[in-house]
Amino acid sequence: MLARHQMTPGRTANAVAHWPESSLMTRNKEGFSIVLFAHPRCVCTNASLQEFRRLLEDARIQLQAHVAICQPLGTPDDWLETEQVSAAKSIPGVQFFVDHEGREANRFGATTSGHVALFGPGGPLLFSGGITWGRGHVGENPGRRRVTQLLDQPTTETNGELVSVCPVFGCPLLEE
Amino acid sequence: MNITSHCLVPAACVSDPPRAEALFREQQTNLCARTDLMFAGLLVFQWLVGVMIAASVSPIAWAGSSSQIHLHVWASVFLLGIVISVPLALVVWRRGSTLSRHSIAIAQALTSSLLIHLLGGRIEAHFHVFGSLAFLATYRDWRVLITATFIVAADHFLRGTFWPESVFGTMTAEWWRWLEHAGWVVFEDAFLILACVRGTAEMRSMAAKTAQIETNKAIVEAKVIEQTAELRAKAVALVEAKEHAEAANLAKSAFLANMSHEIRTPMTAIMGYSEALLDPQQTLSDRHDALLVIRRSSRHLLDLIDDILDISKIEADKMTVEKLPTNVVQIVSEVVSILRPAITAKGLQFRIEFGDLIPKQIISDPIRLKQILVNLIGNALKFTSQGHITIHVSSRSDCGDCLVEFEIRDTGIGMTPEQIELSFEPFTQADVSTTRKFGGSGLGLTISKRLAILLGGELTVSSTFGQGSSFFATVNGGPDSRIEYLRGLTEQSVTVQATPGKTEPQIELHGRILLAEDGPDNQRLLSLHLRRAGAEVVVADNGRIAVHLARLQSFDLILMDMQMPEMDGYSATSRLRASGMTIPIIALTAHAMPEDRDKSLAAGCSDYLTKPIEKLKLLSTIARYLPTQVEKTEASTVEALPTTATAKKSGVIRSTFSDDPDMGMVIFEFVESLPDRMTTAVKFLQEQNYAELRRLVHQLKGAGGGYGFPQITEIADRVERQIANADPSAEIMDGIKELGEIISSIDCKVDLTETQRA
Repeated sequence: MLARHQMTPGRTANAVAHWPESSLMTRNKEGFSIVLFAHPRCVCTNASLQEFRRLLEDARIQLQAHVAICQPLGTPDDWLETEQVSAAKSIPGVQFFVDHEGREANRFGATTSGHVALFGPGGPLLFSGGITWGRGHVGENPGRRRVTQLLDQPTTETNGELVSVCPVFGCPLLEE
Repeated sequence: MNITSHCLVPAACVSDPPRAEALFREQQTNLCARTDLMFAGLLVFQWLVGVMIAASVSPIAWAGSSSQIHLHVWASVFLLGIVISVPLALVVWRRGSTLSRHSIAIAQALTSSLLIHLLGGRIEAHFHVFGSLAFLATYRDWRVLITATFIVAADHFLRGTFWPESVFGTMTAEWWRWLEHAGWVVFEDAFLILACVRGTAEMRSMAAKTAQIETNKAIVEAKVIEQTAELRAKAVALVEAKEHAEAANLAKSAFLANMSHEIRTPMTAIMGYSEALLDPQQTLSDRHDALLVIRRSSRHLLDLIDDILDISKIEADKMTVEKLPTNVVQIVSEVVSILRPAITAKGLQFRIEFGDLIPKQIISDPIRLKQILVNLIGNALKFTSQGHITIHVSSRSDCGDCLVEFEIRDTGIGMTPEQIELSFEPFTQADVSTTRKFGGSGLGLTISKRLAILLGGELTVSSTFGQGSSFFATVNGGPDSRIEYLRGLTEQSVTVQATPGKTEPQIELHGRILLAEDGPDNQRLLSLHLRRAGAEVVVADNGRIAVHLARLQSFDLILMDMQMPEMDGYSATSRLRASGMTIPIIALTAHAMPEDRDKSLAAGCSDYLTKPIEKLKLLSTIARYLPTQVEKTEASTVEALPTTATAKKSGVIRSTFSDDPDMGMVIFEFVESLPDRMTTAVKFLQEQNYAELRRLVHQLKGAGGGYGFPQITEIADRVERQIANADPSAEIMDGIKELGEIISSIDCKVDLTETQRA
């Protein structure tokens, strides 16, 4: 039961094919943009944030990185006063975005904390999914490996015809 | 008390394997129980830590703004709780049991498994497994390690196969990775198992040593208890012995008082009648009566002395009995012959009864048997004033032996039960007044009982106060198969002549006798008796001369005084025996103790006589050893013995043998020598030559009575003791003067005149 819990991903995302135009977050028109949707209190997301920091540190290209912290309606004032939020803010080069009522998540089709969406130049979705292999587990995993691969070879697969999808391990961003 | 000196067994020699095993089991159980408790605490602690970790690391699972307790928290609370609940229950109810520690081992391994999972399969979490195994080694039971190892290995295998991220923290793991982990666990197990085995061996060793200590302690304690009991018993025995000794001392004091009375009474009679005999005006009849009293009193004294010597021997366990052919009927006849006159004289009837079968001859000690019967019948006589005394003789077979039974019944005063109880105790009569009224030493029954026991029998009594007593004496006559029985015996079968007086044998001796005696008085007296009996006598003054004469001349017998100057009788006898001399040598000594007899016999003497010498005993003893002898019996009653008399009147003293025509000359010669001896005695005293003085006085003591002058013996004895005690010379001189006065009072002419007249 514990293992199943550990290894059961969140609900499958209904990811968008292109960067939503209605998004309030800024896209890198010329290059890559990446967004991590996170629940500020999901303990599993710590692993995703660590992996995200590592991914960005390892990236050899310029890219626009966002961390969208979900703030559902009716949450308390200290909702964002968490370890996860601090960790997100401390990642160099990341734009911290408070996603009120999960509107951005909805726009991007993200449902689970830890969801990463990578967009290529021009806005096509290149990757959608988690960058950990289980709830709260850091370490080598297919999602991070794929993102790193896409960032290392920016010339290929930038037309959005082939989107990589990985399961996301984390808490639901919004109530279902 | 020195315990170690005699009770401790070396520890190495004492072993109690069952106890050692029990102690080992006990220690092992205690150890396991303590370890169970420790693990119970540890399991609860781990549970709490697990819950705390889960609660702190992942307390809540979120879905948007809604949240719920994280599954890890529930898992740590309930799953871990379930895992530890079973061993905790066993610790409570089955603490120290094999099941509890294996359950703990399983729980500990599962806890490791859960913690590893909760911590995401971090390698650091696996240290919990190694720590747990180390803790489990505290049980010193390697099987527990095996159980835990099996669980760990199985967990790693299963989770490594199906959920590798749960145990190894990675999505993919090599198939053999669980084996690697299990291998490290086994690696640790190897050391822990070795430690367990050694620890167990040490526990066994400790248990064995403890068992040894316990055994030694038990031995020491048992010894202490035993010795304490012994000491207590000894203390009780000492108290009893003390009380017994005090009682014995009191009894002996009473006995001595009685003896004093018993001795003084006949002594008073002897002395009084002796004084009376010195009166020349006494009639022949008065003298005769006086002599009878003196002789009776003397015999009474002799009996007392015999009793005292007998009881001394009995108490010293020195009394022995012979095993000789003994004619029962003859013994009875002799006893009857001795006592019938007195019984008849007292007006009592005397009956002899025999059973159907009377052994003709048994193996026993005739002298001691006779002594028993004389004692018992004499006792009956003493306490019976009217009626009769009966002796009933019978026999019966007992375990193949012939028991001869003698029952002595009387119609005397009888005894109360209390008196019966005391009757066989030494120095005790019915009561003190009994002694005063009836006389006797109070030893007769004691001696008789001990003698009866020595003869293989018993002596018992039944009595009714005021009606009489019956004493039952038995002796063992030897194997029944060798006994020849007589039937139909009656009183007439006992041919006893109940004469009013005792016949005294006249003994004739034929032979040549060498008399070795240093005292001239005893030389003359003994020579006289021997020559009158018909023997030829040659006198030697000391042992050296005796040895010389014995080698030169032919003798049939030697009469050897054992205390002589130059060479004593012991040396002389030894030399003669060493030279091959085989003729009889009869010892003469003033000492009457058994050791003197033994010493004389050891020196080579054939027999033994004590001084003062009784004529009849002297002659009868010698007669047994001479080649030929004739014994003729003359009907001379005791009362018809020579009516010798000693009289003292107006300071004149005469010999008690002055009427004996044969004694006249020797008495005269003895008296004639006395003034010179007194002069010599004074001279020795002035020169302080006490050795010679004592020898001279000793000779006077021995000779005085023999020549009919008991006063000389009495005073000489006193002077001899004064010399022996080294009293002041003035007191010794007084004694010698007194002796001189007695001697000067002797009327030798009167003696001679009367002798010639007789």
